[in-house]
Amino acid sequence: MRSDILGKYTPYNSIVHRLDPRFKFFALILLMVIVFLPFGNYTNRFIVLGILSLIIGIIMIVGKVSFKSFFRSLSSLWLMFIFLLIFMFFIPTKGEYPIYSFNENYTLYWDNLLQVLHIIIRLVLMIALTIILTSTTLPMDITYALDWYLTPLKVVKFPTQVVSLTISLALRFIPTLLNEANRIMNAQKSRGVDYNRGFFVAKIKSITTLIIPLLVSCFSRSDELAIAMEARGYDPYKTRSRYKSLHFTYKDLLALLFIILVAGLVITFSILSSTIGGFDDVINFIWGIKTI
Amino acid sequence: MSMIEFHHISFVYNKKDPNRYDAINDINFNIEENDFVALVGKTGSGKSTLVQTLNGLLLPSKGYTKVKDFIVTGDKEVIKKLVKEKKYKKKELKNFSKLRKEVGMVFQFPEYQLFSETVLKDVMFGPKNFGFSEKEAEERAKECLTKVGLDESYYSRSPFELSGGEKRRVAIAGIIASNPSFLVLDEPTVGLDPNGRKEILNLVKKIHEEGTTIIIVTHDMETVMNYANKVIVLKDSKYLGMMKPSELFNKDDIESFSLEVPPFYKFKRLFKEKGYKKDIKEANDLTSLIDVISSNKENNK
Repeated sequence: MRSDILGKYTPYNSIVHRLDPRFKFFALILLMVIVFLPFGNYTNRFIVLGILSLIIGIIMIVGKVSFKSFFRSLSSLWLMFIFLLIFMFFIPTKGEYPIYSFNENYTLYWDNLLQVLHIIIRLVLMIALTIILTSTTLPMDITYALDWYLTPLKVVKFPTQVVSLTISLALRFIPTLLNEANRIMNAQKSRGVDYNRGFFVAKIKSITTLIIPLLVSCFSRSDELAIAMEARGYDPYKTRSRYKSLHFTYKDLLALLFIILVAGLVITFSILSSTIGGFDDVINFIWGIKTI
Repeated sequence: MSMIEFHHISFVYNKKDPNRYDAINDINFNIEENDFVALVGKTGSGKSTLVQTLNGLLLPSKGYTKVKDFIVTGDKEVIKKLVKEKKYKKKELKNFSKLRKEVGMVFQFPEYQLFSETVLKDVMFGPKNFGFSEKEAEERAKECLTKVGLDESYYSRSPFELSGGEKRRVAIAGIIASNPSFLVLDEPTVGLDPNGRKEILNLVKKIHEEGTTIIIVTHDMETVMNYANKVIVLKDSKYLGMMKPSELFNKDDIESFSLEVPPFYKFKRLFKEKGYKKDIKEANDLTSLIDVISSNKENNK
């Protein structure tokens, strides 16, 4: 049993927990989209991302998402960061602020570093958003929400219930498989495998001692599950009733309005910055409209 | 000096969380060398947690576990104290690879740890990790496979095509191949048929007779009665005591431990309840019970 599983549901009773999962799902997608919008130059990007991080951070505090486990989970991003840095180093780009000119054909720019930083911040925000959703919403509720969004497809005879069953099974088995993985890891650790030490080759070797048994047990588990479901007469194409019905309350409406407001502002800014230019220019432009 | 010492250890899962759960609470006892100890208690009493502190898979939140000269603890104050007294270096307290060579650990369903292409390679994996040379590891592996009753024809087979019982024996061979001085088994016989169970337990007995200290976590009181020489009872995360199996089963309040009494002791109790007067407390197996009863008959004549 590991307590710091990334984005594991925590049974607090905060406002974020109580919100409608359909809304939370929508908000997640919307915020993810706006995190990935273009905002013109780097000053713009970092100002907007800063504001968004602030908002997301506040949501995390309200939803009692553990910052500690969040940052710990980010530690694996380091590898990605280094990879990106190396990658960016070898891509010749034209930037505004040169760091060092190796020769006339190749110059390293600050822009490259900023680009990497930008990507990383976007990724971190995306992870944060996902964690907010999963740690404040029961997996079953997420499935219900997905199912609800898929309902329009029923018109074209799309088997939505099969999709939602697949998703809910996948979600349902995440903790089980994590437990399983933990058990196998413990067994292998007792046989002298050290998952923390060693670099690359050693790590890959030690990971295979985990992956192979995990896959084996995965297959046998899914077999058993299929048999158990068939034995109980499960028919994937029947209409299903639901144990829990979802309610959209005024709180959800308020939250929805807030998110749409934020998204609207950011999208407007994104459009303005792409047609007009830098942050100062946009401010001047808005100021100009006001004074006119 | 005892070989394994639990010094007032506690362990808490999810410390700062609404799911907080105290798995073991202030447990304090010792296990001697060459014991065959059974650890009993109902599900959730902390048995598995306790044994996982033995090779550093879990670090006690309070107190420390001492195995030979190795200390396992996650208690900052204990670490501070030990480092201050210059008995241990901080690094030593965080590296458990030597300890793990000493303490072999067989989990529930150990067949899940198999991963190599061949049985022999899988058994060699442990010893190789613990610094045996290729040749030594192979020797050890072959020796241990023979010990668990698998002959040469198995060496080059894939562990995944074996039967459940065979897989389990391969897994156990893989653990005893690193030549541990302690063998911890967490319900090793779950899911096996009676014959398979007996084979595994007799194997454990054999390993014990060769000088390995055995700690076995079990729900099966027959195992406790027939194999263990001491039994430790845990209840609700607490230590209730260490005794001989016969002492435990002869207790009148054994129901309060929520343990299943073996049929033999049920029979004895029934015998007493029906008004049998003579003291049969000391008769702890069938033959001695028959002796006591028959000698009584003679007296009556």
